[in-house]
Amino acid sequence: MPEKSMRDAINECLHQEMERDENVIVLGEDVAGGMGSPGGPEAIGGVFSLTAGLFTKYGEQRVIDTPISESAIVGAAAGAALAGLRPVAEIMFTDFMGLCLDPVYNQGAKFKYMFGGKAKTPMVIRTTMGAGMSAAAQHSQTNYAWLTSIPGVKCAVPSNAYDAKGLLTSAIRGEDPVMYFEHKMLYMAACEVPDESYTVPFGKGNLTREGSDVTIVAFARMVHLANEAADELVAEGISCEVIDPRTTSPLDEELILESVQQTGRLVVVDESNPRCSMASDIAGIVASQAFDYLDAPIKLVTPPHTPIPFAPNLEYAYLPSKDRIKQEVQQVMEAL
Amino acid sequence: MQLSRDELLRAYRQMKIIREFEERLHIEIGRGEIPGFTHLYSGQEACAVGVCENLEIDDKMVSTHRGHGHCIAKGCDVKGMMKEIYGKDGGLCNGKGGSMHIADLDQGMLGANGIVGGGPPLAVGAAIAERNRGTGRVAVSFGGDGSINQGTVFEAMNLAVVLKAPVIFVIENNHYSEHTHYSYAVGSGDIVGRTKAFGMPVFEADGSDFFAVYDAMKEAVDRGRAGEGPSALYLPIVRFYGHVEGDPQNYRGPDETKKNRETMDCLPKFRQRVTEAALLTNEDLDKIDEEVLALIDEAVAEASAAPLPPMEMLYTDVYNEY
Amino acid sequence: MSKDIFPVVMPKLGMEMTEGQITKWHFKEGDALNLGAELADIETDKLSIPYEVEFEGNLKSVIAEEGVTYPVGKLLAVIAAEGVTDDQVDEFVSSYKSVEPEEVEVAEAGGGYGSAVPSSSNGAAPAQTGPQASSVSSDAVRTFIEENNLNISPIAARLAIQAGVDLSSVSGTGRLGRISVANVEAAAGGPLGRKANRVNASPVAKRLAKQKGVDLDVIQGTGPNGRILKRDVEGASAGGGLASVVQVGPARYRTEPLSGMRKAIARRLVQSKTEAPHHYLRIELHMAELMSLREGINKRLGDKKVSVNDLLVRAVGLALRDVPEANVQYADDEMRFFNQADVGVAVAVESGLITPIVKGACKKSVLQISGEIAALAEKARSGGLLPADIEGGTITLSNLGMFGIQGFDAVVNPPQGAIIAVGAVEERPANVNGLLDLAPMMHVTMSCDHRAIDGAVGAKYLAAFKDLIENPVSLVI
Repeated sequence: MPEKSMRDAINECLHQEMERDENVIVLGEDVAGGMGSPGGPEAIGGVFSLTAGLFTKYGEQRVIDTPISESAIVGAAAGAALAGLRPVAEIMFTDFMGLCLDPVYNQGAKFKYMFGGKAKTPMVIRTTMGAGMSAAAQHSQTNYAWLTSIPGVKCAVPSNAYDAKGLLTSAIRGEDPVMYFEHKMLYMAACEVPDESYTVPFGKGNLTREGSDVTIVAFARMVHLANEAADELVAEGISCEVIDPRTTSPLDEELILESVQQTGRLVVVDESNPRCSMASDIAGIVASQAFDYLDAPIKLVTPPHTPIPFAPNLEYAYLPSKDRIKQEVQQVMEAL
Repeated sequence: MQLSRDELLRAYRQMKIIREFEERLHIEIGRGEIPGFTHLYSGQEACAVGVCENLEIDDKMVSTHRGHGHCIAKGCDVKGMMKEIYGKDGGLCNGKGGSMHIADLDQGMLGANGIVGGGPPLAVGAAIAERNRGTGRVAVSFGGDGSINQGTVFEAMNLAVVLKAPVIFVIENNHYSEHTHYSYAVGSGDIVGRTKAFGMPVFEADGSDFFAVYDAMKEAVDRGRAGEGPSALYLPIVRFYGHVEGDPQNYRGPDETKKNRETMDCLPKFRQRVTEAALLTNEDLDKIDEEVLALIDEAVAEASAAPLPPMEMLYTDVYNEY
Repeated sequence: MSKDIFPVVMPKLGMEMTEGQITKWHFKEGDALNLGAELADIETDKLSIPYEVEFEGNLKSVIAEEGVTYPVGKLLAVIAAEGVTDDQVDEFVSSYKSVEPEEVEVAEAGGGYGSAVPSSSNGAAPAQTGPQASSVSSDAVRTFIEENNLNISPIAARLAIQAGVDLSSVSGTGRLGRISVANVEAAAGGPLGRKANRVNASPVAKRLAKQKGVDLDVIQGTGPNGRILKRDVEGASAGGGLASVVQVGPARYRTEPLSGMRKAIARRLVQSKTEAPHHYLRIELHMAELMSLREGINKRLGDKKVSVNDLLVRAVGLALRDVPEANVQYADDEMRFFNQADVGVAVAVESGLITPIVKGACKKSVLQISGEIAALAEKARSGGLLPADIEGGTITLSNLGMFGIQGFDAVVNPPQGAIIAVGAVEERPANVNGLLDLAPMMHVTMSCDHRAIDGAVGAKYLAAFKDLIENPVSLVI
């Protein structure tokens, strides 16, 4: 089977879904690039090249470059969805969600409920998150936790190309508004991805590795770090079970609880700031529903409660690392 | 613009329904019957009806928190609306939305909206959908002088022009944005000029004159259907009540409301115009008055008697599947 | 997993069990077995429990021998449905892997990380394998899921394989309709994997138990789900175990392998006699009042009967309440004072002696105690005692009166502080109101661990006991 990068897998999904259903449209800043300029359109196909080739194939009615107007972009996506299209809007950096939270949070998320079930908003908002590229405080954040807390929105956080393509396909074909978070450091990570279309369901986590001593739950890029740490811990006789939830809303709580019931220990690795994060959310769920199975306190491996620094050494210290994960797991194994 | 007898009767009927609906709500709210916040439209009927009489059932529309008039004018069921406002089972939104969130997608009504400025971007999206489908339909976004300074509205207007989307931004300037006069809030004082500067034509009309509004809207709709892009309507008007029921309206001058009701009431203006031109008789209009009052009575009686939504409704319709 | 062949494996009965033996097979190869039939007797060092048939069919391939010890999980025999050939049975047996609980294969570390176990996407994905340049998952689990085309949680799959649960008729009620661990456990009839072996204790209880050197395995939890709480640890004794046994001299000489129970008796009593310095306090009790009270009680009750022993147990408990300094244990560097009297009652069973516990005898009525002892004795004789029934206990009452013994000195049951041994109630010459007369008398010997209970304390206790017995109305108020 061919290996593809996450970027290529997502691009492939967009091509396939736009081919399959003419109601799928793409809109955002520079999704084609070059509109109105001497160099002509399709100058870039997205700043991370996720939407490359779409404009040429599907035209300007379906691949819409917008001015910098996040709230209009997402608002238009919500309105178009209400009116029967399946828009896939792009917000270039998830840090910009502050500018366009209302159309997700108060509009798209709530139409179905407020209108008594008589409406639906099948929109997908794709956005880029994550640190590690020295993009500094306003271009490196992860904020899937706040979107997760909104009833009516679903959130996907793929960690690899295979899941990325499958989850995006499910998101586009589904009837609910979806926030789809792509980690910028994973765009080039490659693995086997089938050529044909397929779906990965929301709410079913992936057990990336079986183990018996401790359950590690991790998101996006942290899944890879967790598995690297787990590899090294084998030599110390510690067997880690690593779960990638893949979607934070819905969350596969059941898989996490089943795992903790067997291992008795939980470490959550999350790139987001610690307060009100997915890490603290999962800790709360496990503490209240698997209390009788815990043999050690739950450990959370997160950055500190600070913005993301620019200097590369500081950014490295800010982020959870494989070594920190190992340390937390070792501590959890000792605590009785 | 020459309207047929039936069209004139219908226009009057729609305006009268809106008026009596709102007036009756004012009484019921005063008696403590209605939960939550209600924003009444009395005084602005000609705007809603003048606009909507130009629309087909599948033209799209988004409204504001002061949306009862727009909903009725677009064709939403009056009894269903009343039940919704009362928060009862059988309401247009099953009691889940209330006054500020009434919607009926079958009538092209994409919802009243509790967020000021929330509507215009939605309308741009709906317009793009219609454009892509080649239906020739337009999307209408209602807004007031309150929303005209909101960033989302500027973004929507600009995006509509850039994409040549068939949106019509209807600006009902009833002079007060909650308790603040527009002359203070709009820095340049020139709503029309600002809107034109985005790159679209603005058609102006006296909001209390049904015929003027109708004609202005016709130009905008024709433009939109022909694929010529967005337009705006600027309709100065007054609201007879406060921003929200319970508003003490300390911002008004002495006798301001009394004067408004005497000079800016679209219903007597319409009656005078059509009877003087012998298009309709007073009897025609009186008959409608009677029928409408009876309709509103029925709607209130049914809404009062309707059961509360069942408990399970709390949990339904969050997601399509989860 | 074949649904026609059922493996009979050494079950795990009780939290500490690691091995057991079949003392007797009740059927032989080829016999037809009905559901619920007692296939064999299985013995651990504490209990003897019959193995009940859960799968109807014919007994095949009896592998385990009587009297030999096997580890938990070992294949002992096979039950096959009608129509299964011997070859199929042989193949099943030779390919059967007795999986130790808690052992999960973790494959070698590798490069890419991805779906170790592909979450089923309702058949939509052609390549269920997902991204794995080199998987770090258990191949067995993944293969199992794929081959059986299951929509199942990977953890549930792993547990099902380990426990040999047949999933063909299990429907999934887990997330998005998959088979969850809960579904598999329902099919298996109990918790699986590590859950099955857990001591359920709250974090603070565990900490306290560690501080106090208390063994959690022997504490009864009073919290939800049987959770051991702080209060359970505070009130617990670390004790529990079998009754001491009067030394019976060896009769004839023939060899028998030691049963689990015999081994345990030997071990514990040697420990008691060598470590605990015993001293013995003796008194004689006038029993007339007690016998008369008993008669009165029984007349009142009709067909329920309260025995002398029931009244004695109550008295033992109340006396501990009155003399709490006798409700103690010596434990290395500390003395433990218990706040409740859990009285062990020695019951003779075919294989030896066992002491089920009446908990809180100081707080229960005579009638309650009577009922409880009857139930426990019945359970003991039918082999139905559970570990919780015999663990704990702060003092023991041993009564050989029914065998005509006048008096004896029992061995303290470690780690308890004392044991009360009583003999028969007999008409003997006694001082009755200053005159020599015959009166119903009973001899009592209290054996004490001198580290925990000195002579004076023991004497005080016996005085209280005597007072209760000779003024027996105190037992019913």
